Amino acid sequence: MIQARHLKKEYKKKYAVNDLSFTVETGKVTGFLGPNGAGKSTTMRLMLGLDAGTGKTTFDDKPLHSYAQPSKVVGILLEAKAFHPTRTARQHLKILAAAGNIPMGRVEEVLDIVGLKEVGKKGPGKFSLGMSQRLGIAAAILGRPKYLMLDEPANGLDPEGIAWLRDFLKAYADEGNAVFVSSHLLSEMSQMADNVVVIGRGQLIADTSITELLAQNAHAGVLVRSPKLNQLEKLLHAQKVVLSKSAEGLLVSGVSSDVIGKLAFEHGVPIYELAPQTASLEDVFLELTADAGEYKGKSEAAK
Amino acid sequence: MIASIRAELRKLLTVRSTYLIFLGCLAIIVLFAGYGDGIRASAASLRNPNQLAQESYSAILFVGLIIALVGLLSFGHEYRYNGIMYTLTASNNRLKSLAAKAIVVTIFAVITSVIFALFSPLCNILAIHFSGKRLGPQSFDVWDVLWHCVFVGWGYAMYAFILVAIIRSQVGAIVMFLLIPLIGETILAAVFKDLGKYLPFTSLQSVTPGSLVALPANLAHYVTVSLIYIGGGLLVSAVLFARRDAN
Repeated sequence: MIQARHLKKEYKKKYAVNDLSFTVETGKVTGFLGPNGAGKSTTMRLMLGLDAGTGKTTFDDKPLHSYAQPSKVVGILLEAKAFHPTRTARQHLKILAAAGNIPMGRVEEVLDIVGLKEVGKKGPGKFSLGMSQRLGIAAAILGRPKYLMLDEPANGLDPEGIAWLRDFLKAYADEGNAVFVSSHLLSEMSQMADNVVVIGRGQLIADTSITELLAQNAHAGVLVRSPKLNQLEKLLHAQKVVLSKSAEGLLVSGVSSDVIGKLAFEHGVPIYELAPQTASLEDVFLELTADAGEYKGKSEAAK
Repeated sequence: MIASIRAELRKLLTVRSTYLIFLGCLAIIVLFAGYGDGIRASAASLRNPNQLAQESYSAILFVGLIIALVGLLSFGHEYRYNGIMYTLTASNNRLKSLAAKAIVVTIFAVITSVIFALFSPLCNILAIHFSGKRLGPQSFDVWDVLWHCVFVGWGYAMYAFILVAIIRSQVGAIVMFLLIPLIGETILAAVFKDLGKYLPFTSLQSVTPGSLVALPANLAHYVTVSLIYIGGGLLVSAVLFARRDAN
């Protein structure tokens, strides 16, 4: 697993990352979420030792620089257009293969995996953003690393590309590897990630599984419709649950629909609807980061 | 380390600019040594027993400055296109990466310096021959000419390398690299007079016998001053490269 401990980075007396600690487990895809300017990219760079800062990151209990061939331990995609524009895509990968002591035959394999074999002899300067991302992913998986760290890899990918990326990363993690991926596509992340690390203003907000995150959210619970809501509310109060009334009915959090149904039945309260409600990752993300956004837009009307 | 050197060599040899600059340098040599000093050679230069050696020195003093840009670009591209993050995550030691770059730039500078040092007099001989003129007896100690030329060519390449390592901006480093010897040191030498013999480019250029700069110092002085600048510059580059953010 990757363990990041007490990461800290200061820019001009302002913390970009402040005492950030979290774990990325093997066999899972871990999403890395945060508003713009939250410090996601800086965190990844700190973890890789690209930026000077304090704190420690270990990959299987060892710092990255203690491995003889780091590119076989962690594959990175931090920027889609990180290549020379006129050097061919194939040559770009061959350079990385040479640097990481990776057999040259692997270059053709990864070009094939990401679907760029046809354009391998072209300079990537004219590649679309999506094609550039694919080249970046090819570079990341070149050394068959146990860990992948990808910063916004879905940016610029078409729907087919996003679906491919999702399946690819899930399969990669299922092979016993760990994938740490940041994205602003929250619906994608909710389908892809097992765990999430949420940060805001450089600080940790949540480090948990997607399931737990969604279950703990205020929007999650059971929606109850009944002609005797007041009576049911009194009964539920005794169960130490969180209740909120709405036009649709009563939202009950902290207890399962089975318990509510049984309680209603025992006290003869008729139930019209008992519907488990799940919050979307977007709801949860917006709620968690409500005060953590560095840059916020306004509507035209609000000006 | 070997893997890093192999990767750096590939970087250098897989960009167009390497070949364009190299061919451009050869074209300049053909123009000056072949046409200017060959086809249009004066009677005095045809009688000069050091004519061919001077062709080698002139070539390295001028095109050596241009070919040094190849090393600068190879390193500068990494910052410009952010490939530096791949370089640093592929290696477990930043200093190894820097050393690999310096070694590759050195190899390239030595090879191209030898080529230019030999190509320039060859061009001159051929041009004189085909224009029906006759070159007087020549004194051309190959090894002596080569070591002077290689030292200056390598020195230029190291200065360029150090500048880009410190500045981390390709354009900024190119501007500095061309401005310092062509304008900066000319002004400084005029202001400081004899102290000009301690300036980096002036010292390096003075390693070639009969260079444009004529200051009261011997060859050992110029070699030592140049080596101190290169050594000190590499040390500063190494410290900064190891400590700074990779961008």
